[in-house]
Amino acid sequence: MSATEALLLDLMGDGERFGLELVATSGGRVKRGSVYVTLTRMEAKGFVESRQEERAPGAIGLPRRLYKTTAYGATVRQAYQSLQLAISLRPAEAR
Amino acid sequence: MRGRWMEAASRRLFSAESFALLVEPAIADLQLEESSSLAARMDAYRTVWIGMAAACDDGVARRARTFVRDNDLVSLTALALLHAVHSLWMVVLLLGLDGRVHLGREISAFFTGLPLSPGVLASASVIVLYAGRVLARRLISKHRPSPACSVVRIVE
Repeated sequence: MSATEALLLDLMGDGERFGLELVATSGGRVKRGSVYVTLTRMEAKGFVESRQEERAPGAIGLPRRLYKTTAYGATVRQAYQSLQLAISLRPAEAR
Repeated sequence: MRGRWMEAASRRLFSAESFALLVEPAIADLQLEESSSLAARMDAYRTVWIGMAAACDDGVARRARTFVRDNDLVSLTALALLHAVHSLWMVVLLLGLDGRVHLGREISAFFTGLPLSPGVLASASVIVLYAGRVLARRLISKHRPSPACSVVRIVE
C-alpha cells in the first residue's frame, strides 16, 4: 500500500465519497490528475469499491462515481498503521 | 456541454470497464466544473487526458496479456530463436568456403582437435536442446501451483 492509497482510505472513512471530494479534502496532498488512476488501482487490489451515482431523470452530463472502503481495505489500512507505528518506535519504546 | 467529443472518442477507443473507471468520472467532473477560472478548467481537462492515457495503457496491457496467453508466445520466441541460431551457424560455415573468411575453418579446427565424433556432437547438441527446454519450462511454470503440493489436496 502506497502513502497516497493510505491517505485516500483515511479521507474516505466509512462513507461514500466522490473523487473530486477526496481531492478537495486532502489539502493538496492528492492531485486531481492522478486520483482516478489511484482509485482504479485500489479497486483492482480490493481496497475500495465503487458505483455510479443515481441521477434524477433528465439530468445533464455523465454520472459521477462514488467510492467506498471495503472491509478488506479497512483491515489493510489498520495493518499499515500498526506497521508504521512499529517502525517509528525506538527499540527501547518497542519493548 | 464540455467533453462531449472526448466522451464519444473514449467510448469507441477503450473497453467499457476502462472507460467507466478511468475516463467517465473525469469527464463528469469536467462537466460539473463550475469555476470560471481557466486554470481550474485546464486542470479538469488534464485529468481527462491522464484518464485517457491510463485507459490506453490498461487496454494495451490487457491485449498483450491475452496475446501471450493465447498464442504461447514463449514457445514461438524459442522456435524463432532456434531457427535464427541454426541459420547463423550455416552462414558462418558457408562464409568459410570461399577462403576469405576463416571463421568456419577455425571452428572446425577447434572441433577436430577435440576427441569427438560428429555423432557424439549431434547427440550432445540434442541433449543440450532438450535440457534447455526442460529448464525453460521449469522457469516458466515456477509460479504455477503444483497440484501435488496443493493445500486443498493436503486438507482433503
